[in-house]
Amino acid sequence: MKSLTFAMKLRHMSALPKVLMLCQRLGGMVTYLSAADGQANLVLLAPRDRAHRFAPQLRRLIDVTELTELHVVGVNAQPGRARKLVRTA
Amino acid sequence: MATRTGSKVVIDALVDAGVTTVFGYPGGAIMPFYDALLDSPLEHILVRHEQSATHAADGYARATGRLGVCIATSGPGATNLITGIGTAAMDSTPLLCITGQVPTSLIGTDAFQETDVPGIVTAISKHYYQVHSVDELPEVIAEAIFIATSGRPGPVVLDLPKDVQIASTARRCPRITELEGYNARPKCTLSTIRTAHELLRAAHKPVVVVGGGCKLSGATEHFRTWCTRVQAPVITTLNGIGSVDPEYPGWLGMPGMHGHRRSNRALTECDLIVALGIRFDDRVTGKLATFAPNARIVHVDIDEAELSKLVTVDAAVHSDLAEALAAWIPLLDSDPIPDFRAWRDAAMAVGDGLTVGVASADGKVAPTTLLDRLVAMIGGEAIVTTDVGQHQMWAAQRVRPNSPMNFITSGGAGTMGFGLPSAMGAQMARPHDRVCAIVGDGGFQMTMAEMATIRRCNLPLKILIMDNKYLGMVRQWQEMFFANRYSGVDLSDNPDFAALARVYGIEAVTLNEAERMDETLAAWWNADGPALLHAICQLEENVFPMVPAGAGLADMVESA
Repeated sequence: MKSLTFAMKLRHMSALPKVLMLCQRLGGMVTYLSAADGQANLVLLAPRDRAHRFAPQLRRLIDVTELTELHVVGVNAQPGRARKLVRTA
Repeated sequence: MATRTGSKVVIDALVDAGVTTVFGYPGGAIMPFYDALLDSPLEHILVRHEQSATHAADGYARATGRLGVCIATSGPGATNLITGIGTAAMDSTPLLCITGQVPTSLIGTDAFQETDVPGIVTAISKHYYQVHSVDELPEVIAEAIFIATSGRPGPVVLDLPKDVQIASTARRCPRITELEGYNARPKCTLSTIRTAHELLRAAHKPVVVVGGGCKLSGATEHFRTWCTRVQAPVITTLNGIGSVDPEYPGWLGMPGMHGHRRSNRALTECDLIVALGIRFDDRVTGKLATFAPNARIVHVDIDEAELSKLVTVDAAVHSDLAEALAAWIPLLDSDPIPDFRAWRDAAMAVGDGLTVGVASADGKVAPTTLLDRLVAMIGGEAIVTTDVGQHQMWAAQRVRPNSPMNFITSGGAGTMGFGLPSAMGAQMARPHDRVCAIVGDGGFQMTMAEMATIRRCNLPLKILIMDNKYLGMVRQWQEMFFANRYSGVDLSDNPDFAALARVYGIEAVTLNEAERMDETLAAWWNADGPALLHAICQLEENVFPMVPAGAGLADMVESA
């Protein structure tokens, strides 16, 4: 399994169930979700061979207006910090 | 300031979008909308089951490229739309499904005929709306139409509570051309096209695979121009049939499970696949691990989620196909490609591997012979719709339509019952064109009540029932993979479909002797109004070639 972290903006908070249902359909297991004021942060465990499908399919949802995948940078890459999440396009 | 009811707001928006005909079935929660329809220019076609309304609207949309619209009431009316919504989603049909809903004050109370429509359609629609205030409606309906018809098209559901249909608003529909976070018409960069072009320049045995995305993007003319310049062998997926100019000398046919021999052979031997508006469906690729083992892949698609979803590609072009081809064509002049004609001709020479009908001792009609004769008779101008099963694959292997809008079939969802109502929708959309619905005895019985609609509207479409007294495709699989153990496929007590059609007022004839085939086909096709031909076919004919489920394209078999 591979851990995926997403930050997203939603048109409506009521779109959250759609996001969760899609993650489940793609074989993901959501381990963390926080959401407020049209923004959501999501961590999930995805089957390694299907992990590449999550971001584009989440982005396909009309109510997801912005999606950023966050990647963990290793300890060596960020001296002094155990881990850090960085944004990629 | 002038006000309009919610119903009028929706109707006006549909008219502005170019919709002329809607398909539906009324009920309590949609009655205000139906009342407003009486004063509108929209033609309403009363179907006999809501599922047929979705398929008819789907056929209307596929035959024209315009928005298809279906209407149902709340509760069971809405749930009866589900199969059609899923069908449209799988094949990316622009569809607007309007469902009545109980008044907003009753939503969530388990009121009579209340169903959680948004909850149900979430997973099978492109988008949905439940409108809680009439003042939201002008913007919502404009958005709904924009979303259904733009980008990768798809079904959008509009759930309209009864009080919203009745209430009035002074607001106008905005003109929507973009939505935050939604890329309706992605354009490729020249560098991605150049990468694709370089791969084509380096190839020795390229194969072009074109899918439903070609017609959906209106790219058929661009594609034909591009093809003529490239002169590579071309394969059309089930929903891409008709994209190639029928005169093009390198059309290999359909790929995959029941594809032509030369298509599957070329995919196995090629060193480059140029995939245009396809989604690498499992019925196309067979076993992924052995799919096109020597090929690099260029994939052009409007839906980013399709790029490298199943097959890792070497050049991903996220773009509307028409835009991409328009950018690519000039490169063919400025940066010439190799001459692929020898490879194209060699690929064609492999042959199609199609079954040739053999006369049986009992004189029954060989289904493949029947379709060969039918296709030769009706030509490429006619619209052909099919249901799902053996007849669908036999037809897909044989038709040569002039346009991708002339072959309408349920591809991704494989929905039985689709053939007849989709033909109805296509005939309504293109009243001056000939329409032929090819159906099996199983699928026909799922939506055959639409014969009443066809008769009422006097639609001159022609219905061909290929009756082999079985759910043929399932029977074929049971024969081949379940040791001849036929389970739940026997339709030996089918009714006399010709007699049934006559009861509905439709001219009908039964064909049960192969030797009368030509004269019977001609009389049926040349009948003035709607006509049904009930062809009693050989019982256990199988569809070949066939790639068994889970096998690779190289494992294609051509006989039992």
